[in-house]
Amino acid sequence: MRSPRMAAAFLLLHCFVGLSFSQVPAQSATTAKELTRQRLVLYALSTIRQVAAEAPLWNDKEAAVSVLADAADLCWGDDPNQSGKWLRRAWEMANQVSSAPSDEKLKAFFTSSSQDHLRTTVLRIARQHDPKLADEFMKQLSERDPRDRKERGAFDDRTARSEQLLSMAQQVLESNPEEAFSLAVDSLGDGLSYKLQNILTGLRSKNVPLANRLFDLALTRFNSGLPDPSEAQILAGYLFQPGFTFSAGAAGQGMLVVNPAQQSLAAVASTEPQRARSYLTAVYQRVLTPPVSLSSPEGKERAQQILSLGNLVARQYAVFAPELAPSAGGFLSQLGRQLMTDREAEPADTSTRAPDSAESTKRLTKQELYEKRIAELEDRADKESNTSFRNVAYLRVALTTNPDDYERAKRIAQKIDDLDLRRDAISFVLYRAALFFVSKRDIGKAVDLVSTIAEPSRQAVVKIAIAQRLLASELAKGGPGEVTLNQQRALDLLNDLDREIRQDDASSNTAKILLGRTAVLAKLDSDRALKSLEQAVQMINKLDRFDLLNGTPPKLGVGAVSTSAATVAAPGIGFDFRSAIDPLINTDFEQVSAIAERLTAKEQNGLARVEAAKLYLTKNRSATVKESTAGVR
Amino acid sequence: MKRWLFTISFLLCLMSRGSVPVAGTNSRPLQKVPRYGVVTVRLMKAPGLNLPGSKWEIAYELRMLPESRLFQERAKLNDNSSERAGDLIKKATLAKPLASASGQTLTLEIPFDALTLEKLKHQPADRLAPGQDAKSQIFVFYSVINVHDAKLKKTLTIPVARIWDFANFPGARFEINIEIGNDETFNVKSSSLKSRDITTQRRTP
Repeated sequence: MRSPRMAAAFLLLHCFVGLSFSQVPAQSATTAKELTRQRLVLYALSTIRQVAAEAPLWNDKEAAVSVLADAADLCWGDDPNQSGKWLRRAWEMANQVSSAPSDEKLKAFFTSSSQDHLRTTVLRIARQHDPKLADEFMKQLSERDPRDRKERGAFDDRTARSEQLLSMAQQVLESNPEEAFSLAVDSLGDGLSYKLQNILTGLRSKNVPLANRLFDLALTRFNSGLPDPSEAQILAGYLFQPGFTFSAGAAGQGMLVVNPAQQSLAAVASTEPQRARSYLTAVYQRVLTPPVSLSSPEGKERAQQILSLGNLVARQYAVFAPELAPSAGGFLSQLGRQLMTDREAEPADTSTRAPDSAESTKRLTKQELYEKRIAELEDRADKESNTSFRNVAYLRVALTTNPDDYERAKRIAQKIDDLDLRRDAISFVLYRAALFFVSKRDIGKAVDLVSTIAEPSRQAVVKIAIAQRLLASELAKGGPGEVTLNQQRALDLLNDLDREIRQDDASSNTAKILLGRTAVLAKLDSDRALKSLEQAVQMINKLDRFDLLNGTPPKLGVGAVSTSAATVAAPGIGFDFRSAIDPLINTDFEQVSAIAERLTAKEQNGLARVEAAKLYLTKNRSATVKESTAGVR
Repeated sequence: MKRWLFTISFLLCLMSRGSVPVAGTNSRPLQKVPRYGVVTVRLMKAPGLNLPGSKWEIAYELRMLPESRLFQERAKLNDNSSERAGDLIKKATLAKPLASASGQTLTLEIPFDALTLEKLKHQPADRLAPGQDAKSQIFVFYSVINVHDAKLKKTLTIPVARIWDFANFPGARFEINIEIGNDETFNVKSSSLKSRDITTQRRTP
């Protein structure tokens, strides 16, 4: 149905390009290659306009918002009027997208939703092309809030407005630190939010004076009223423990979020002692000394938050503001005592601090502790009387082992009585080990393990990851001969998958595997990669739902332990449509577009075509193309 | 004497019906305490749900502990723990074929012994009041459900552990609904802990 439409568009474009370029003076005649590029740019733009016109009618509002926002972004230079209309439509449609937390399991921490992410995208594009429109959207957001969500996560930003501003700041931090600074400063109007800490730390790695200015402005804001203790945690994390943010939940329990990318950075306070001192003084004056009423639940919650903050900053007073140290310490002790008076003292936590005679006489090494823990868990599993509970206990012990300790994990998993669970557990620990070795560039061990993985999908992901690693430049130090050898080994591994992936076994995981294979194969053989992409599209057409833009690896954990997949090293490949077509787009844009046309669901079809067009334009659009595309609009 | 006897028989009669009025300091007046708990486990969807050869089995333990011990026992409430928290009320195993509709529901009736009933009777009116969390009771349900699906030709193991507060489930009736997809993934929905401020973390008043 779409092919005639595509053919018509091509014909029109051919005629149009022909007319357009016949007027170009002979002395500046472009090469055939350049003409092709220009023709394809026009085709990409035409595709985007066509899909954007259809998108408002789609049932999948998320896809529609995404397409309209992309269309506005890509076409703004040529047609700001239409692009503005698309962006307004995208903003309106974002309201119809779910505002439920994206991850139910993490909602105590964060409650950001698909709607929030889409709004960030729309706002970023508006800000880039039409700041007035962005201000208009932001104003609407401020009026619609204040925080109409019933439940808030402990690390949610303070308002929907500040969340959007800081999300945008996060997105541009790498490419445009000044813009990130400006957005973060705007967010301070609503107070100090969780994401500000990431921005401060990220900004510091780019531009120290800018980070210092942002910190100073944040501290000014902090000093301007009666701040929430959680605002002090943001700055404390930045100054004293980069990458760590503490908070207190609704019931006063301590909560911690870690940003692994920032956790090993040096503490800022050591190089900015005056700022640390200013901060501690502000905390003393604005948080510690104002009286706190413990007669209301809100007062108790605030007191608990202050104590949580106190745990983090108390020892810093002695270093950076010694004259305040006794008073601050005294105040925190007093507050702690007040809180405890209403409550029976809790017994010591024996579950985690049981005296250990062995430990008291000899300090165990990390490895010895590990051995001891696994032995204890295995022993406890051995003693479980019920077979079902015992099987699950063995499974959990096997998964508690380190990824490279797979022999032990396998031995423990072999004790599982249920055949299916035993096979699944063994296959998983081998899969986990193989990906671990790939991540450590120990290809030999990964190759040794891959054939022992019984489950085909897991084996396929490992083969793709090994192939990807073999093609990485750092492994080709032995010269051209080794490059060729590695390429052949990679090709052999990817060819194996043809036999192993069954088309009748349609699943999201298999579709992802086919997309991942395409991404790696494209670096070796574009014809085979296109064939692989076709297979992926055929597979996706058999599924009820598939998220083309989700690049996460296939979910291949053990079902009985929901967190098992999170213990696996990332294979280092995107398993989404974009990753699959990226290496092909310069040379095979038309073929990729034709394959995308074969997606039967209209939303997926549109998204895929726009994704291909967007990628082509990103890589090939240049100022030399003066489009006069009125004929194809 | 007759009047005394009548009064005693009336009270016994009331108790035997499971309706026990309780009055006391900071306790709920006339609180009815169920004599047994009921956990209903349903398999709502599975590729081989109605096929002969499909069957399922649950091994379970129902336990109970006061809210004040949740923090101490938190490690045992972790999904990955093989240890159990709380005092055992009952442990058992129940199996059924899945070919018929009646087999797709497992009803676990768990009688409460005298000690458990006594604890349940003394629920505080305000569990957040100082010291009252030692009386507020929490059920802990540990289970492993094995579903053999004749279409998938394999057995799926589904561990389900839940904590339920008696304050919000005064009838001690709980539900667990399971759906298994064609790709062997499963989804478990159940009665959930309703008091948002119940926490396994250290809590201050």
